[in-house]
Amino acid sequence: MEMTVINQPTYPPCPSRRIFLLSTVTLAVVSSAASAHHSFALFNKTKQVSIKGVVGRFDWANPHVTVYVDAEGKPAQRYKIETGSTNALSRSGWKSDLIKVGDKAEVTFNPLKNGDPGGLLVEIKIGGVVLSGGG
Amino acid sequence: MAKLALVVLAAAAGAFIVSGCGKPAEAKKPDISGTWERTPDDWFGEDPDRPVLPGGKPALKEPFLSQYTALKKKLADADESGAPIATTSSKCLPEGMPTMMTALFPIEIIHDSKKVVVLGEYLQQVRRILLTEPMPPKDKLDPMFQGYSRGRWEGDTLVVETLGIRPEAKLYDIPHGKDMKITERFRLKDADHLENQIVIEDPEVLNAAYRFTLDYKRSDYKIQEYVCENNTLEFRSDGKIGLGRK
Repeated sequence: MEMTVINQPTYPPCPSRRIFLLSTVTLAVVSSAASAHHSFALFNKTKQVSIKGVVGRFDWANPHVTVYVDAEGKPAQRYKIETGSTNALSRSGWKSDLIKVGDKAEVTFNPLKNGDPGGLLVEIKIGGVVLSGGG
Repeated sequence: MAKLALVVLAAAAGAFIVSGCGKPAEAKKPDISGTWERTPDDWFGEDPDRPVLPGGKPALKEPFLSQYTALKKKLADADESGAPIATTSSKCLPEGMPTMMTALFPIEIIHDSKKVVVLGEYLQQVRRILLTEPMPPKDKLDPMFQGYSRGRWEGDTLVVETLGIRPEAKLYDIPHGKDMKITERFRLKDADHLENQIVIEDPEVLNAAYRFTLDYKRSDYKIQEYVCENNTLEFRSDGKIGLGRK
């Protein structure tokens, strides 16, 4: 598979931010999450959880872009998955219309330490598009 | 005598060239306008929750040292529990001075002969450095997040003094007194690199001045708006935060 790497201007404290374009359909933004807004101690950064579901709500807004995913199962469970600021994400290649309500999604995240359904986005797959959290 | 007259004439001619129409020519000021980002890229350190103190540990007096040490332990314990302590940032309040100048998000500088304006992308902070007005008397300095900044050019260096900063505007939780004075010395190292040497004097709180230098690199990034409109955190009565369900 052809891989094109586009180097982006660095954006402290995310010096490794890059965009990987895998053929024409997969976009993954590799970034270490960082924010001035609140502590990341909410999340267990040593664990990753993956779920499948439908996007029930998508907030493209600051301080954190947030995806709410209604997971499959009975009863259905809504997960609140947070990622970076619109500023950092748009700089990394995200756009406000990349995720839409009703999209089927596979989401991987660092779970909340308190056990509530939600966490910090690691990666979201929608169709052939893969977006990594960050910023 | 003739030689002396020649020297005087030459000096006068030189002065004319420099001063033009009798008005002393101002030295051209360096152009520090533009968008700036911190450098080197790893300036923040590895852990987004534990930024590197730019000047090392501050020489805090008692009881501030004990209070600061206790606060850091309280913050660490709260982090470990998964319910961090609420901060001014988590409430979308401005970073204030001098944290704004650490430029976690990019900053933009605009200046003319009367003022220098610093725009911070994070939380759309604005800082005005006035160049032609004196610092107000201390009893007129009602505390503000960015304080009151007055500046002057000393050759190629912009020297800025800032007073009147609100107590909650702390640099990485370091406490400060009401008379804290921040002195900054901005100087272009070359066309694309700007340094800001900072000295914080605070006799009430510090045994010695706290000194550090912030280095910036010029950027072609176009700063975007940052409106903290969707803060869905849960603020608890014990002062801690949760992600919330909203």
